[in-house]
Amino acid sequence: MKLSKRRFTTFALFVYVWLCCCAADCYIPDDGYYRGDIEAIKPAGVDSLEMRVINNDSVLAVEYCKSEKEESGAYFNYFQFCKVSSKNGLCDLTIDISFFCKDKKIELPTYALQIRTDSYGYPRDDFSIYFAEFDERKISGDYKLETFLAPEDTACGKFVNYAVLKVEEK
Amino acid sequence: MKCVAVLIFCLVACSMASVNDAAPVERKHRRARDIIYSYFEVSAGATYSVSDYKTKSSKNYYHDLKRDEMVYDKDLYYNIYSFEGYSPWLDSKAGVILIRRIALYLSFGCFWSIGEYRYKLYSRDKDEYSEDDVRLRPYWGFGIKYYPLINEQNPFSGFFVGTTLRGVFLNDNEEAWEKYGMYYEDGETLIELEMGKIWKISEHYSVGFSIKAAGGFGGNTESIDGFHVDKHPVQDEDDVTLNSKHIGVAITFVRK
Repeated sequence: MKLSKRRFTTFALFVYVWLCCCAADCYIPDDGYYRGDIEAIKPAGVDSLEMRVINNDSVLAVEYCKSEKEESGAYFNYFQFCKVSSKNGLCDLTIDISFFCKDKKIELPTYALQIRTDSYGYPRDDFSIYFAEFDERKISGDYKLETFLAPEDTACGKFVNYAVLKVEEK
Repeated sequence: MKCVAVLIFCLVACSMASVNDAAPVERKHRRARDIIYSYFEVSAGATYSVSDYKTKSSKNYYHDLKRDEMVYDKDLYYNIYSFEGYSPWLDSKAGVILIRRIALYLSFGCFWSIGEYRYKLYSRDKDEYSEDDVRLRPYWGFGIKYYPLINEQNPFSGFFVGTTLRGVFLNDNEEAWEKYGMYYEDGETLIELEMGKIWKISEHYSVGFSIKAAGGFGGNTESIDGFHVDKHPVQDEDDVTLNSKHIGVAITFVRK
């Protein structure tokens, strides 16, 4: 069968449109793009660590870390929570961290976190928060030093370098 | 005026044509051969060398372990590594020399950094670690040398100036850096400037001396992806700094 020039052009145009539709259908927005991690890394000088994530007086999560491994910590992801629970474009969380050494429990100052969300509950800013002992020589990546969270009770140690580090995704 | 200009042009053209016609055939051949020669050079010498690597703090907080306090210091540096000592070296060059004046060459060789290596974790630290060591630095590169005076009757004949760009492998540094938790790249770019003089000892061979000054750039940290605690930090790769300085003398043997 011999195709005329006009028929061939029409056929090519249909194929092109069909490929465009396929490409559009294949594109699925990836929710995993947002990291939204909150992680408290246990200092080597304490036996274990507890992290409580609170929203409006209700405890969302209580996470523990007892591991001796480096970079191990208690972990919470705020992305899914904020997606369904944000109000007036804001998702407010407070984080309480405690250290345990022998039979003592040492509480660190509360850290308040406010996440801006859009009308669908998606966080406007994509960032993660890490609580860790700060030593610039040992931390890599693009991060912002927010504040230090030294406990008032120094029974387990002063931990003057326990810091809040904000990592913004670009 | 226009006629005068045309006349001058014609005279110059005629004189040039007559010079070329008058040139003997043998001289023409000789000139063609003079354009390019092979060029070899071997030299040995020593330099006084200092190296200094350090990373500028971006957060400027220092943990004073004695007082267990965080101190803010806007001039804080960390991962400080320095070297001071002598570097005997051997160098070889191979290339071509154009019109008996301009040598273009590839350079291969090595030097040994002999002296004191010092390490400090933070600039505010009082503790400093020191090691005496000998470390081999092989290199390769390319360069250019210019002999402005080729008239052998001139007492300054054989005077030269040159520059060489080299990639130096900082062998043995990596192990020492890791020992103190410092992570710099194990290579640097060395720019060398030299001037000296050679004397003919036969038709093709010359011997002489040179004075050298060189500066090494680079030594930045390697980059790693993402945020990590307990891993080495990333330094801005565009941040090119003068890390090492060398000054010294050498004895040179040239074949051209």
